[in-house]
Amino acid sequence: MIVGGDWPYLWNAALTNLIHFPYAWDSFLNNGLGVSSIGTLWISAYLSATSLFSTLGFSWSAITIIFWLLPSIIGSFFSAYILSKVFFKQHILVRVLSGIIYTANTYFLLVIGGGQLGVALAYAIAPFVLYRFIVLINNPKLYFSIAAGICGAIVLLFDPRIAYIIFLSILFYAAFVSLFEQKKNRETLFPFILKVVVLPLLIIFFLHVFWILPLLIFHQNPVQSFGAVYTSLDAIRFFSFATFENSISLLHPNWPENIFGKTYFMKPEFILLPVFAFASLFFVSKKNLKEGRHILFFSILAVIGAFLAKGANDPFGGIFVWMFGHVPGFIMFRDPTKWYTLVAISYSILIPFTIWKIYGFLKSRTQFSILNFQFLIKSKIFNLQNFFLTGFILYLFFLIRPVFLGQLDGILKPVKVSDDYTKLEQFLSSQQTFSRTFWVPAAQRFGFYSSLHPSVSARDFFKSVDNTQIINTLKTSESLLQESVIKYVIVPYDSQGEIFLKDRKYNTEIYQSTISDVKKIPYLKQVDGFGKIAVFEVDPPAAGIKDHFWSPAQNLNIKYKVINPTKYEVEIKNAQKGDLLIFSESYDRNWQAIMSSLRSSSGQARLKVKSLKFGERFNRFILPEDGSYSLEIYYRPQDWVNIGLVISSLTLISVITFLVWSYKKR
Amino acid sequence: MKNKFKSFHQWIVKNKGKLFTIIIVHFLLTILLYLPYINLIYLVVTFFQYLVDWILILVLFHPAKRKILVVGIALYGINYFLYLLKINSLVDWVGNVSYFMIATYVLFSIREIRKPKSKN
Repeated sequence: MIVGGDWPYLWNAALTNLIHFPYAWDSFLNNGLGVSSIGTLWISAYLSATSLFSTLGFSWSAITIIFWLLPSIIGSFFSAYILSKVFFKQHILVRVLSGIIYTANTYFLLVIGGGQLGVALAYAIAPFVLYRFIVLINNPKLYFSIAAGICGAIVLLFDPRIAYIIFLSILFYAAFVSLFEQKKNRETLFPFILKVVVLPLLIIFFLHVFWILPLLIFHQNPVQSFGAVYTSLDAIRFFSFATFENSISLLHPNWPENIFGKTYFMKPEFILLPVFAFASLFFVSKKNLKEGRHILFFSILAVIGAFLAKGANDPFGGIFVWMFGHVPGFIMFRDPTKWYTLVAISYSILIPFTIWKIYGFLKSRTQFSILNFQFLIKSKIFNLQNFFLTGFILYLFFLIRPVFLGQLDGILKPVKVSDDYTKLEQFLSSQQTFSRTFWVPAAQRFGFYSSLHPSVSARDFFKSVDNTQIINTLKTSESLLQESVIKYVIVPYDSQGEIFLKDRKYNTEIYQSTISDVKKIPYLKQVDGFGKIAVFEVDPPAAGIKDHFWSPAQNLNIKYKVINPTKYEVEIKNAQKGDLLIFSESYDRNWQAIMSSLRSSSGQARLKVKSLKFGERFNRFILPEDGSYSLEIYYRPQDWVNIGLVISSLTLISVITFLVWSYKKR
Repeated sequence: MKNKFKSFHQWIVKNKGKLFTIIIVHFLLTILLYLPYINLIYLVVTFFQYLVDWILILVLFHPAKRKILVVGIALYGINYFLYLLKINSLVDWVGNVSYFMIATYVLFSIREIRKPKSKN
């Protein structure tokens, strides 16, 4: 199985649940209690699209490799290869070197290894987007404008942070070029701005309107929703793992183990990289101003990238902290290492440029002397320049030697799913009524979850990382678990050594003590047959087992049907006005109940009941009528997602049609 | 070699005023930045006195652009050996100075490769 870091493992049932149009509510993937997904619709749209291939028999691992991993690796190589075409048109070998530097560096390898495949895809396409905009700025035609807009939309689809970085680079390139270009008069300036700025931005906006529109209308800030842990100034100081030496040497601070928060001493062999990169400035000739400008542009980009990638660390770490609090968009960079992208792009141009120049210099030296002995090199293969080039490529591979020595963890190391987890999956899949599983202290990556059986992590549920506190709270939480429709409490078998840790290492004593503590809880009964996974069933409440919809009122008879994650049809019988209907998904004020029986002839619902908070977590609706009737429980932002999807689809069809037509015409 | 030391000595004698200015400013700044309230600047902009040193060097000595780049890159090379010797405090400092020098070279170069704009 290819799984690790942030990359989840999806059982077939979960994979099937993901095949749908983009929905504004995520009922099981990121949070077992449900959460608004407007802020992450960009990537979940791609996830849903790739999940579709499971219907053709593709496993999750196959989907991961074909649609996420390979496009990242191959894409990053060719993306840098194409960007370097601007500078090294005739030198394929140098362009290949660009591709190698951009792909085989510690930052990209750890992004991939850490399972951040959305970031990896965005990183992969970033140089190509820059290339498209460089072409557009130098040749502002409608065709290039639309092509650049589509590329910009693709990078935004995979990761807004990388998109932000790349758009800033493009803006900087435009400003940089304007320093040297002839001043545009009013007649040429307006069409230039229209084609280079307005049209691509409009295309990006309309292609992404399906999530931008609801985000704007419902005033949701996806970053703020993560809370102070992610957005405070203390967080930025804590997450600034890279030192300045790391960032300028393109060395990821967690290389090679990729253990969160565990940084390593600087590895001196990486220091040669900035030496090679900035040595390119020596070879800038005044005779070739265009070349010089490009080298200078990428040098500035590298200097800025290295400065920002180190975050709050010295020198001048306060500047990043200030920008985090004041510059729009910087709040996305609680993990400043995303700025390594700029360093990688720059070095993929600067280093090959230096190598190319040294290569050319050595090529011109076929004759040399050592201690008065004259040497003449005639071989086309065994010569100084080829030795130098081979040596440099070997040096690059030496830098990433943990890859070849099998020392990299994460998704780059295939793992096998334990049989115990397969048994648990079969057991839960056989149950056809809605219930949740509760993982103490946290869900294991092979733990089964689906829309019918979402998994809840105790750490998230009790907002604590202290095992003792979690167990103590669990002891007094019987009714809370019943209200949350939690049927099973599970202590996972930590096959990957990620949960029961002491000093960042797996500790079997913590695992065993957790099981023995949970065994002592009186309302839990152990269910045998899952090997090292300890499964406990929660005693059903006296009033009967609760479901996704339930009510404290005994008289109420409730039946419901799931239409999609944002829409449920609920049949109510024997209701009394004022009875409560509890909807056990996380509270969100945008949930509403619509009384279907009170629809007017125009089809417009006349009675809408807003969701109120039940307890600390869930939604409740106060029933407005006596008797039996049906309700539609609906998540309102979905209306705007639907409108946005229509606009985005029309935009996509229009721009592709134009590009095909325009290409044929050319 | 002797001549080089001699010329280096002559250079120091010739520029002793400028060198003293830099040392005194650095010394004063270091004291100032430890004073109450003013130390807030230091919290936000660490490495501040070194930046001032660098600006003073640029203003007083007008070093050649090419020399700045050579020294900047050479310092990275020297840093390699400092890492091997595990002199970490010096490593950080040399790395930062090197960064300043390269950044300065890049900034100075923009002006140089600007082509005169046409007057139409």
